[in-house]
Amino acid sequence: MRHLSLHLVANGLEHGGNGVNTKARTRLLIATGVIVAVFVVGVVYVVSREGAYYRQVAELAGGGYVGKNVKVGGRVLGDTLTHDDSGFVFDIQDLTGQADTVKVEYDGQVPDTFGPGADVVVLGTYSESAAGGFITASQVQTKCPSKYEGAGTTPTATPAP
Amino acid sequence: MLLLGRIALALGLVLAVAAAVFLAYGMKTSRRDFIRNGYYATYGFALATVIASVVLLQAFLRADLGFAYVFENSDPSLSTFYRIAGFWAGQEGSFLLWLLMLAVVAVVIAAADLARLRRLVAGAVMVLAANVALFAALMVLDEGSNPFLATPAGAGSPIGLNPLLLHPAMVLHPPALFAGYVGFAVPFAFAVSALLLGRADREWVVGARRWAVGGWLMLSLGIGLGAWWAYVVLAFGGYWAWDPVENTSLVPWLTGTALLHAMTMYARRGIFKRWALGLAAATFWLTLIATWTTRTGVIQSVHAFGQRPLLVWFLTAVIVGVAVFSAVLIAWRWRRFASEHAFESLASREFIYHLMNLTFTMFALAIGFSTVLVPLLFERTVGPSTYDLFAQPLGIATLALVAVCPLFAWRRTLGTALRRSMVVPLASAAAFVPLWLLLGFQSNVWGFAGFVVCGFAFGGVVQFVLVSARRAAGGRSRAAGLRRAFFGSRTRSAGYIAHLGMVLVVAGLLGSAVYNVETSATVAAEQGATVQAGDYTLMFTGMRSEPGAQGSLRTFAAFDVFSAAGDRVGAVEPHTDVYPTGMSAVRAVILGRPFEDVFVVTDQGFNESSPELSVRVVVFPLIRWVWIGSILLCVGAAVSLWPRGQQQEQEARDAAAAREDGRLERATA
Repeated sequence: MRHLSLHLVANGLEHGGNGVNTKARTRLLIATGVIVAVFVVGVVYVVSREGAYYRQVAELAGGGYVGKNVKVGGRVLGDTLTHDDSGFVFDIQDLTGQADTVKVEYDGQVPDTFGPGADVVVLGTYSESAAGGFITASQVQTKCPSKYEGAGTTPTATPAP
Repeated sequence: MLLLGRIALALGLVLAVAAAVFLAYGMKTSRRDFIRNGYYATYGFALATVIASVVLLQAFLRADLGFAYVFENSDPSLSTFYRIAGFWAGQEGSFLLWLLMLAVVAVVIAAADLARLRRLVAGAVMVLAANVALFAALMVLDEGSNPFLATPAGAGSPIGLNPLLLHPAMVLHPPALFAGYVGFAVPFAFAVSALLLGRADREWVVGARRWAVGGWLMLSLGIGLGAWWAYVVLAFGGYWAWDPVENTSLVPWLTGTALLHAMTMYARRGIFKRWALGLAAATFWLTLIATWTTRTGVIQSVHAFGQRPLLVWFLTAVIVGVAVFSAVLIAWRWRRFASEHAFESLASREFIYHLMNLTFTMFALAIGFSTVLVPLLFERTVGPSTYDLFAQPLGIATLALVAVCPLFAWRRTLGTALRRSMVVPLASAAAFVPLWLLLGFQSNVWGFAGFVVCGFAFGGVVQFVLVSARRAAGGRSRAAGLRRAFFGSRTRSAGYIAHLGMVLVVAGLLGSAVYNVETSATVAAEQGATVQAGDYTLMFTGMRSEPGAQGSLRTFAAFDVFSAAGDRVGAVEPHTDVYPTGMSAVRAVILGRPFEDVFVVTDQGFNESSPELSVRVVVFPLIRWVWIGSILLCVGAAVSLWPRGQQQEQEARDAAAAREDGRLERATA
């Protein structure tokens, strides 16, 4: 019984527009609105500042990406791969069947699955010089050799040195 | 055998459609005979999926290479454990496992209701049956999703399980995730049923809550196992890479966490009804998004996936359909699912819960938006640093809410009561400061602020226990009150444990993400060669090889580890496995210290004749708190799941708790 009467009172208050409760509801809506607005502005700002263009190798040259952050996937061309104290330098070839390549300079650690022929995702800043385009990479990932792949792809493998 | 599997799948599809149709009609017209027949059809499709699964399982156990799916995911040299794991090593078997779990859940719910034939439950089983029908149809129609195809002639030798997946955590990680996703299908099913019937009472929440908690438990476990596997096996020097596939499993976990809280509030106080409906729909929908993202390869990911148009269109259609259907249903019943109590004040526990719902939803939106929509709509991509920018403030905000929640009373809080209840959390925050200083965490202002919030939140959990103890004690002794606070309500004690786990997880994440020290060095493979890493010195002592699993050769590089004071604190042996196929995998090793892990890995494979090693050492402070906290989260969920007899008893407890809360309100008002 008590529960039922509470129920009725609550409904009465909600629909009857009791002064205190309308004020509380308005405050609730304003607080929620402010939080959501701050959140949306924050997310849009962060994403627009931090986002990198996700492109194919073939789209880079002449595409207006000089000085921009790009993320490209490509296959490491084995005969171009060099590694010394200043890091890795290699070319990656387009994965969509185009012949285009782009040079990658990377001073950091690579996963064990990295090597000639590996499919990698490179994140970095794109530049162009007389010799062609190159990416100063901040991150190089090899595709994870997950088993959840479709026909035609095989896990990338590195022969042990 | 292949034929039997295919027949079972097709039969499952037909029976699932039949069950959905019978149940829909029975629910609409209250015809109990139709509901009963719908339940029988549910038994039928469950049996069919069990048969299909047994066929595939025996194929794996016998290493029957006539199954194309077995051929691709197993080989006769594997142990029984990993042969079984082959079942869900690929997409086709994953779908079947998912189908099996869904069907089993549907049949358990139907069996429990066979004596009562309630319309609400019939509606829920109908939704689950429709879900089964959709996935069964996909498996029958899409070649790449069907595990019962023959191996093409002249296919050569079996491809086998990927060596990186040969790890217990990776065997359990996929089924745990799927079980989590299936668990969250149940609240959605009950919510749809309640919406269709316009039943704004508590029954659907009572029916769905334990499944939701179970789903949450399995999803937490799955995410935790994945992180642990990444930490010890992938060896990239971390446990979370903000990879799209990881993110899409975290997003339903976030909304699912909010859902559990909203459902508790719904059952106990009749509030947050729309939140509960919206979150139930959103969480289920997000599990579909997770499947869509991982299975279609639409989002470029470090996980390699195939692209198939039928699969893409099918899943896209299901996702759009579920979104539109849920939105229309909720809009239709919007007024009916209004809160039973009017909102009274911003200084109330209701408002804290409201903020918590908001924070978790925003967290999920930020990650989901960046992972899925930014690449699709803007052809751009964001990296881990961006996700960190979202996760750090939102994670700390979540913890701050845990911290302040017990300070507020239901409905409205008086200033004096608020000040009095601040004492314990503030004291706790202050008590932890020396520890944080000792561990050197003052070097990063934001990190340090996060740790202070952790201390405050720990005090908040203690305060929660004290408040319930005082309330439960009544006239009795404090000890009796404490006992009742712990054992009186499973949901409440689950809350204490889970919140404590949350505090540990966040402290561990802060410590290991903000304060880790990473060192990379090339060291000559000569006895006595050293690497300096943070406060530690590693000294090379030698190499040795031994045969490893699956015919591999395992080579160890041994190092002694010395602390800053020059004491030898342990030895580590990072190693490389070289498989007969030519694939190699480096394995990290971890030296556990009281407050930190010393993680050691070589960046390239090596063998005994390698002249030098490229060693990477990462010192992760407090990382073990992440694992301990995750375990506590799961224990919390398990406690609330522990069987407690009849459902009525639970309802009675909820009512009692509601009365108790009412008493407290009057006491504080």
